[in-house]
Amino acid sequence: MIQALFLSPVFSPLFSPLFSVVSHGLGPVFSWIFWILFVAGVGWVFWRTIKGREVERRVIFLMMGLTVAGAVLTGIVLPVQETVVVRNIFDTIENLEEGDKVLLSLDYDPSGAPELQPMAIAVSQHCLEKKLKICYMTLWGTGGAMIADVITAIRPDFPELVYGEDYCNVGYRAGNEAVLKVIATDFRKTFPTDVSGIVLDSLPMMTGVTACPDFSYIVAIGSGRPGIKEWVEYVVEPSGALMGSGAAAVSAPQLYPYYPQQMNGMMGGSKGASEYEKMLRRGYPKYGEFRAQATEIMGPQTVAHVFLMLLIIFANISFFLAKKRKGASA
Amino acid sequence: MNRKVMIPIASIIVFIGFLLLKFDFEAVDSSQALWDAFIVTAGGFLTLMIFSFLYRDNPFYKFAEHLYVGVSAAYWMCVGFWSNIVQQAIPHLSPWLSEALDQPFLGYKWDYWIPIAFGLLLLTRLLPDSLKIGWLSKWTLAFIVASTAGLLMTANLKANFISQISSTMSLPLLPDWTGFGDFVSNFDLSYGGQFIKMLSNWVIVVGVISGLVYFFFSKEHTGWFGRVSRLGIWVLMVTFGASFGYTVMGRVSLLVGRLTFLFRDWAGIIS
Repeated sequence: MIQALFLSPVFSPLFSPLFSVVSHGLGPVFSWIFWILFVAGVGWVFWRTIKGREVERRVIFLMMGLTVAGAVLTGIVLPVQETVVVRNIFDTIENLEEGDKVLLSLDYDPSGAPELQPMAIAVSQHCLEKKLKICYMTLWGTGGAMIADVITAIRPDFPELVYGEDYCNVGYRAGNEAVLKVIATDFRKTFPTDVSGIVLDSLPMMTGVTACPDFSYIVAIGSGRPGIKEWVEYVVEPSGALMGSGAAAVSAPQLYPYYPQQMNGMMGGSKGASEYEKMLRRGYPKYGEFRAQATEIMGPQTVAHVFLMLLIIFANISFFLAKKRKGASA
Repeated sequence: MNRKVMIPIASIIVFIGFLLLKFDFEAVDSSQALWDAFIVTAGGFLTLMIFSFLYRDNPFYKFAEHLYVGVSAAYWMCVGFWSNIVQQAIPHLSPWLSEALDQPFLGYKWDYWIPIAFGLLLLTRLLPDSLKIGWLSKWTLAFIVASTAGLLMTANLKANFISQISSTMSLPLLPDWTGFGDFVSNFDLSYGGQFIKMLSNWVIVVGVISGLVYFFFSKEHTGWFGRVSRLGIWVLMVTFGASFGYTVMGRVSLLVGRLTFLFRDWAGIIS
């Protein structure tokens, strides 16, 4: 009966996370236990705050860890709101013609993978669904492994793909900005061969590609330097190439000013990735069963943010109470 | 047996125990299965070792940290060698070496000797001081600093200064405006609606101007100037707050990634 009350149209928006246990979750009982412990933990911190007692930082670490762990185990999935900034990338790819070439630059390392790899996978799947040709590259030495992981992830869905005709991987070149400066006008000067040493001219899909603007669209997914900022500075500005991007959450706020003039869209952190996954599922229903990595992250994200906001509020209450006590005793 | 010996031995025994738990005894390719089990077990242990720093510094954390630094250095060394020297330089220097390293020979290019010479000069720092030629490495460093400065200056000026000013100043304060009547009758609060577009543009223009006023110190921040400056500091605070929120999102994503690995791949609690 209590469940029925909470699932009613009035309360469901507030309490639906309690019951939105997806396939990988441990079940509703665990979900209830988690939420009761969460509320009890927050209540304990609040009680300590009112009493003017400190909460040790290690307790906060532990509580944050347990909060995120519990949210991961319950498999909370929350609705994702689409934004224009992300939709522009989806629409641009959606409107490309079959056979158009897309340059996908994965400029990150394993530490950025949890939020950026889902973007790379979703964009790759979208491009291949549209029968576009993808050229992978990276400006990071660790990006080669990321490209390999993306290709491994998408291959089962597209067994008919032919290397060199449907996609290729030119790999990594050292030089940071200098690489971009050169490929903006002469792609083969920096990438005469692909990652395995095959001459680029022998790959059919690279016919007609001499510089970055020859790609119909560039998607730069990055988490630092060199990354999206350098793509804008050295490729988009001088060559006028059309670019969208996917940024790690930490660097996203500094990159939004480039939208919409210098890049036509941006996926910011796991939120941006989850939006793209949602659009992909809506546009291509076969991905309904696909494990949406970024969407899975957003549930624990929200719970962690709520916990953090409560801590900030409690800390402020504690500050003002301490000030009041100090004033009263003086 | 003292603790310094017992703890590593106990850790190795626990590691082997977990390794055996993850090992697929029914696998056809047992060496591959052993490798897979080792990777997942090592990943799980290293994750927990790094997390242990949140409690306090300890030998397990130190071990994981040193391993990380060592592996990273070795990885970059290999990537640098194979990507720069083998894939880029050798195909333009020697047909014999290209064939030996399984790379296509792309024709001689004399200018490739310039970066090689600069690279060798950089290594002179490693030679004994008695030779007194370490200063030659400064030529390479000077070239790197000068060329980077030159590259950054022109690119920054265009992308981050001129284009940004142009983008801000060309924002329409009344986007898609066809009259007040149309605006009211088609009033829309959706993200892509006219009202939100208009609001966004106003926020950008007012935010930029008030932010600039806050950093203008040639006039005292009093009166209307002070009020605009006060608004500027609010804009800055909101910006820092948004950056902080995004940073939290990024860090939590990493934590979720690690915990998902621990629960799914290592412990097998969730599917």
